Amino acid sequence: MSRAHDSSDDRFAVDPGDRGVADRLAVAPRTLALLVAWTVLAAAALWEAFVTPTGLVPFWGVTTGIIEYLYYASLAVVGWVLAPLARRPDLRRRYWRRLRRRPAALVSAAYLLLLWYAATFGERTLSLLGIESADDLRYGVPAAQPPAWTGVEMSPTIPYCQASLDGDVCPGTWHFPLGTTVDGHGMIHLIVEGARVAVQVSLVTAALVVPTAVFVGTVAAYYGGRIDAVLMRYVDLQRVVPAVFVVLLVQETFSRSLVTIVVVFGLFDWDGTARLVRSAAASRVDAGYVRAARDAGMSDAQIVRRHVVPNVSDTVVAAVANRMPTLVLVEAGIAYLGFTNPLARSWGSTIAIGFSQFPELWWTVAFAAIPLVCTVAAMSVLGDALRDVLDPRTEVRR
Amino acid sequence: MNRPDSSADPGAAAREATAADSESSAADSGSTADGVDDADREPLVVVDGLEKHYPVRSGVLRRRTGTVRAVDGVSFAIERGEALGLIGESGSGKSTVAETLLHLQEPTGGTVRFDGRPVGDGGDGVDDLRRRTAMVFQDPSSSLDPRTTAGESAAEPLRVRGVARRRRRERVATLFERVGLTADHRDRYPHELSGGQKRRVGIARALALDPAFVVLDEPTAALDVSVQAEILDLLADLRDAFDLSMLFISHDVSVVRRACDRVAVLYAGEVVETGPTGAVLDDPAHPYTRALAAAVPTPDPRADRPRHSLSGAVPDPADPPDGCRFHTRCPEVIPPEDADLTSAEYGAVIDLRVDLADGEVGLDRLRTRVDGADADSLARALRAEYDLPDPDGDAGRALSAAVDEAVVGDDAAAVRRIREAFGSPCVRENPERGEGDRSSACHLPPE
Repeated sequence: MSRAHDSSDDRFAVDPGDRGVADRLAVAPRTLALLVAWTVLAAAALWEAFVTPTGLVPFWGVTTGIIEYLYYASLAVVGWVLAPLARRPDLRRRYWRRLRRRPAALVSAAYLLLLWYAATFGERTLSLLGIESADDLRYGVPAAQPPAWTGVEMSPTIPYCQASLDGDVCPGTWHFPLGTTVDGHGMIHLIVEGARVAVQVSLVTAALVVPTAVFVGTVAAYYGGRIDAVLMRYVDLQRVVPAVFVVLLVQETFSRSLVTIVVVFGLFDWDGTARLVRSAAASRVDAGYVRAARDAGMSDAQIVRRHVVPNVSDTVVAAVANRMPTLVLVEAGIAYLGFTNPLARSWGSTIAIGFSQFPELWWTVAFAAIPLVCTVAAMSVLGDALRDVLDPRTEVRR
Repeated sequence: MNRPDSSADPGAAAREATAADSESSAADSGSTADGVDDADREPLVVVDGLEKHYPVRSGVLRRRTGTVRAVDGVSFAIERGEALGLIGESGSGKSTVAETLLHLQEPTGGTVRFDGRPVGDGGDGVDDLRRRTAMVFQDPSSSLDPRTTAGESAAEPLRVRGVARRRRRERVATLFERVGLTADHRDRYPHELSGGQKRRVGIARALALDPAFVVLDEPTAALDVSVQAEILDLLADLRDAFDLSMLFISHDVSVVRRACDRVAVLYAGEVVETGPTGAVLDDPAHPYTRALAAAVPTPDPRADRPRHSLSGAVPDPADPPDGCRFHTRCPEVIPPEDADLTSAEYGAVIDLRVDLADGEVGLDRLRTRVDGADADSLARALRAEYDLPDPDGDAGRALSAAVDEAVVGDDAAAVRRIREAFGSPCVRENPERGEGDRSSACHLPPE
């Protein structure tokens, strides 16, 4: 054996090797990219606030509000989470292989991707394609037009019919395929607007809730003792006050806006998730691999980040997948009750408008409720599937 | 012997120096020269009076109401290249010795000296210890992170020390081949590996930083017998190749016999016997060691069943027995001087005393068995239950009185009476373990 001839080969001096750029950075490249993205967004927000209060930010091209900036910042977080997928084809293949076997999850994923596209680029796509364009209509968008393939009897609520009347019945036109509301908005535009609200609410809230809950939960479980007691008592305290109540209070006191909803939910709705994370993490902090990491000389912060957090990811995914559809529903509920900014056309407020003329203008309620239900269902299904997909133990290679 | 890159890495240099003789190493590794000079006189690891006491707190104010003496004054030394076996039952404190020795848990007393330098008090000693020692943890499954590939797990110590990614992968490939895995195993997750393979990953990880000293906590537990043998062969092989010192923790006497030069027997947080493996296990001086050694099954069906079998479990470390900690279970306990009792008979009296003290005498159960509530039949049942002797004289009278007290439920008085009437050196004082290569802590005169 080689050992006998050349014993020095078996005895390594531990030579650190050539440390590339990636090894020398204090933070991972994806974290650096995230920080850069945030800085750019913050700079643009400040520019918009102070330099061009009325105009557009150069290169940005669209009118933006605080919620848009928060949304893009959250998208950057999603990118940060997905970055390892882009870098590692083996991971990509593994997750795809497991996801492929779950048709319901695939359909949900496709639907949510479509929703995300609608939320982010929907407005621009509609105007590019000229769908529901009011440019060549003299009086703007006509109110209360039925969907293209149906008709509705003329009545005082329907003052004008865009197509020529068929007896007493006003048929729909393909100019407004899903009809229009009583106050003159195309349903397709409202669906896209609602998608934007739903996606922004769920994504921004998740981007605030997940880090907070994971941090509080794992720190409480890892350090235990007094830190655990203080953090968990605070969580108990927070549970006493439902986030919905805080939202209503703040909306009425300060301003009604999507930003308020998102921020309040982000700051006050992480308690349940934190508790779940803590109990999941508590069973891991005494595991052999944690003690082994300590023996290897890892710091507590590194152990929490590299061993505790990855091992509670299934709990986090499950808890968030459970929470996001609820949030979408709660936001719709708040909007339905009229406690939100009327300019943010959530599916909830569209349904409320629809019910004012129900069942005559049934399509308003139907085409707002269908995407709402689909979104909630798709988020739940995909969340459940992701928990299994992310768990390496569900598959054994031969 | 003298590698050009060894001076770049103080740990490796010192490691090298331990293998070389002192003159040449002192010349080439300046930074550790004084440590090495010192160290050549001293064993690699010296543990002196190591203690780990856990506070027991209770009540609203979390006041300290007791102490769990998990490790209570353990001393031993491990020479360079030597393998010391630490044996004992579950609950005897073996794993706690390992973890306090490596300062994974802070000891509450005693000192650890590694390579001539004290560990603890200053941060430097602990870091040096971490750098040059490693531990193979007990359960091969739970000591690998299920979300981390085997390669990443094995490379973790390297990562902590700032070794570049590519270098880590190369190093792990070499280590994996060294421990009988292939480089392909690097990308496997723990659930895709067998128990033996996981154990090998744990060993590769322990070797990653080229340690001088490795602690193996039950390295063969939870493995098939054939795999156990493979792992033991691997460890012996690695010990030669890497010139390792080892602390080998096991409850399995046959494993320790096969793998270790010397052995220390741990009971209830104390070392009761130590010495060369063969001498201790073939000719045990302490009754506990005798019982452990006799408990090893022999393949010969005609062989006598072991006479010294142990019953019960290691006593609760929160409330260890007075005197010799083993006296409550000792088959050779020294009977009181004035009573005419054998060790077995005295053992029955001690069993009764211990159960009375713990409130575990099932009077109700006895009552249903004799279906009569009168004190006499109950007393007879109690005597039968514990197989109590009936000695003459004072001792006999005291025992009868104690049984009567026990029957009416006055346990405390019965315990006190037995304690006073049946004195023995084993109950009165904890024996000291002598000095020297071979020593044991027992009141029995050496044979």
